[in-house]
Amino acid sequence: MNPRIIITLFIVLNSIYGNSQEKTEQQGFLTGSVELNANVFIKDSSINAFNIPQYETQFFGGESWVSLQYTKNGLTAGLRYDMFLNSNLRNPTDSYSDRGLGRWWIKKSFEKLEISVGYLYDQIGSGIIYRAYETRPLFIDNALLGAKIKYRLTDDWNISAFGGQQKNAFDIYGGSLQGLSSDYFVSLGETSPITLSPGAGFVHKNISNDAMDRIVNSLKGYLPVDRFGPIYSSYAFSLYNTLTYKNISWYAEAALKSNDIFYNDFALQTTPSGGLTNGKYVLDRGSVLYTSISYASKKLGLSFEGKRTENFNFRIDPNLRLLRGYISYIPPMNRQNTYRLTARYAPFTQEVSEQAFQVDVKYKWTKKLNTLINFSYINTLDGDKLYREFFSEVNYKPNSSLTMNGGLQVVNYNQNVYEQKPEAPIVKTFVPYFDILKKINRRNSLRVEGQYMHTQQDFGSWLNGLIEYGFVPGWLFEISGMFNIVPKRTLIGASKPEKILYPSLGAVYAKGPNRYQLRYVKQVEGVVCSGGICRLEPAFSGVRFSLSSQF
Amino acid sequence: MKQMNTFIMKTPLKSIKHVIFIAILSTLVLSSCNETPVPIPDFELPNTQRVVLFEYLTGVKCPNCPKGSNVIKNMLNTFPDKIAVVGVHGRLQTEPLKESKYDFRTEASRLLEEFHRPFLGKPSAMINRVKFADEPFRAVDLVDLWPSYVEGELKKPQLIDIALTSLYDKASRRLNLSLGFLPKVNMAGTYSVSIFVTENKIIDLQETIGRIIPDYEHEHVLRHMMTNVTGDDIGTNLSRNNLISKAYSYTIPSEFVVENLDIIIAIRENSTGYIHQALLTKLDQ
Repeated sequence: MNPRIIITLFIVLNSIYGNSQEKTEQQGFLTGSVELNANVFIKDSSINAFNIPQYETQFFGGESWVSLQYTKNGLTAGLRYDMFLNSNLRNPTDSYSDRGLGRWWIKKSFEKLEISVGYLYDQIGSGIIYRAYETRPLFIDNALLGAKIKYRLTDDWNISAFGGQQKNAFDIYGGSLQGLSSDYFVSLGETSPITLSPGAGFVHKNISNDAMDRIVNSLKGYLPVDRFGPIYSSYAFSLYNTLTYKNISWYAEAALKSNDIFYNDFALQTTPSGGLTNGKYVLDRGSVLYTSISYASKKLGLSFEGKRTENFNFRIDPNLRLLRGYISYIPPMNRQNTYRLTARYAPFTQEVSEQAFQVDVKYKWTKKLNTLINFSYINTLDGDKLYREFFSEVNYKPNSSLTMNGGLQVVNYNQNVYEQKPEAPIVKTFVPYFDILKKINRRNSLRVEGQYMHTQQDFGSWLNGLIEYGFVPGWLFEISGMFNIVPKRTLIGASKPEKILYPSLGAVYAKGPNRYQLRYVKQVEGVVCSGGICRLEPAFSGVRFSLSSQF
Repeated sequence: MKQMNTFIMKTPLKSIKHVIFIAILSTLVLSSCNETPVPIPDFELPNTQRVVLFEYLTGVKCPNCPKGSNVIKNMLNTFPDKIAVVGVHGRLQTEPLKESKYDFRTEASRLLEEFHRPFLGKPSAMINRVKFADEPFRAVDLVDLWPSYVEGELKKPQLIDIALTSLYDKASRRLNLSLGFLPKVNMAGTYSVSIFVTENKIIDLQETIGRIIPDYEHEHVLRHMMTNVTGDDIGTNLSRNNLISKAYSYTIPSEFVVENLDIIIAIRENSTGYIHQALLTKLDQ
């Protein structure tokens, strides 16, 4: 659809119905959002922030997303205009420029029937067999360009059917997806009822002729021992249920995948000389078993998650790598940390072989004192250690103007597997941390945080500190520094490991739904994750401006 | 109480419907596994005089590059004399290891890698500098796809011939090249020639997944370019059977083992960047 036509349509609709957030849905209303990132790249070879076009010749880059959504009488229509200019989001080591209509969609409800067309985000269950979603910091936008029909059979029972092709930036991938799902709700008993929310989903994937040609041509070069007969179609099926009883909630999902072609980085391929190399196409079934159970009372909060994954690399095109073309989303099995050093080593969800569990215990001792303990355990199915994390936190709030957090994190991280770094030993870290927030008065506040990471591996030990001063109306100033206090790694161009400071200086202004941020940043190379999906980001040096606004 | 009874009566019925729906889904899954596999055709060596330029973006700190090198070895066996490989050790993952004997980085390889940006990572390969459909960039990062792309290029018609006469003086280590380009058809556009000097059989360290290989044999290492990195122009709108001649000379540095050197020549159409033909000759011949 021509973007100009859609934008014109929105302008006309808005002029007819006015800019009226307060109007009801019957009258129609327009909402929208803007997100903008702008980076000035300042080359700093001392931290390896160089060797990409942004540092060498372009110096400026950024990206923006502008969304509009109009709702009236059960009809919702939206569009999003995306722009990338010398952006390092798509490929952190390169430059990407493009612009255009990133998304459009229309949804209409007719009593029990709901029809959606366009670029659609959706998921079945927890997303293991199908999740179409967007994560901007990782350049993930795998919306389905197609249609979905949802029908409410009863008040407690919905069924849905969808079909389409997966988005690839401003293009679409070949191949197609179709799916069915059913979600049901039942409540048993009146006082303290047991509720059940069972569901089932089915996805059919059909790879394109081009993708098949490439696989066939690759298999031609394989020895007979590694060859197989490739097929176009594969299927995934999942059953899931949430059971709640009083303070207990239990979610369980079992997903199966039929024979499907995928590239297994760990499978051994035989070479004509008789040797073995890592990585080849395989045709295999897959499965994921996932469960989470939680209990919450006034004082105690408990949660447990467990997962077993085998051969569940499910993509629209088996030839795609990295974060491209995912159909499935497998939930992570570790705590999502926020502090700079406690978040430094985060595990990427392993699709081929993983067994994991996580336990989280919160206890409220008094109104002023809370504690938290979390433990994550991740291995391969063969028992190789991938990740361990012990995380503890004490939160003490003696009065309304002072909040203190502190604790300890211990991590074991298999850098060899997660970052494919040869000869890298298990990174073992020990991170004590604190965070103190003092409200000086009604208008002013001060927050100080600090972490120390002790490790003998990778970059060595770190010290990180941050001071943040906030005052009404909506201003926040911060200064922080991450210091490689006991360095272990020799960076490119250096003759030995050097103690390097990575400082940041920034200001944030937030008013209502608008937020502006300007920061001078020097950032060390590290893994950036969102919900268990991670990638290795190179070092950054420069100035970052970001804006987000809703209207 | 009436409401409760209604609830009790309706709930099992709805549950049964839901179970039936799930059973239908299950049946769909179980009945959907009867697809006939696509047959894998036997390999046939294309009958052609075409030679493909294969520019391999690699590095001693690239853990997946030994796998890429294995694929190249297999392709050289599969397509004998049909591929001219240039190993480009540019910037990414090319810093020598602490115990490395050699630094394979050169100004030419750095510039060539820059010229071939963007690419997702290493190993990657430019195959006649074609941007293949469904690939995000010209550089192909999935090594298993290389043979099929090379085969596809070999099936294209040959439009131009390259002839080479090389004279090497051992005493002065001076190499003189006389090149001739003979179009087989009229060829629109402006064309340029690139000449690469590569070296084989260099034993040194190489990272691989999980370890460092101490005695890795590095092949096709780009040592020098006798032309500009983007090539030297040879003419515009080339006419059929109209011979174009060029001459180059180069003094081979003493640290290069002459017997292990390859000279690779490639003809490029400037506007598309497409390599129409390549030629590889060994200096020991």
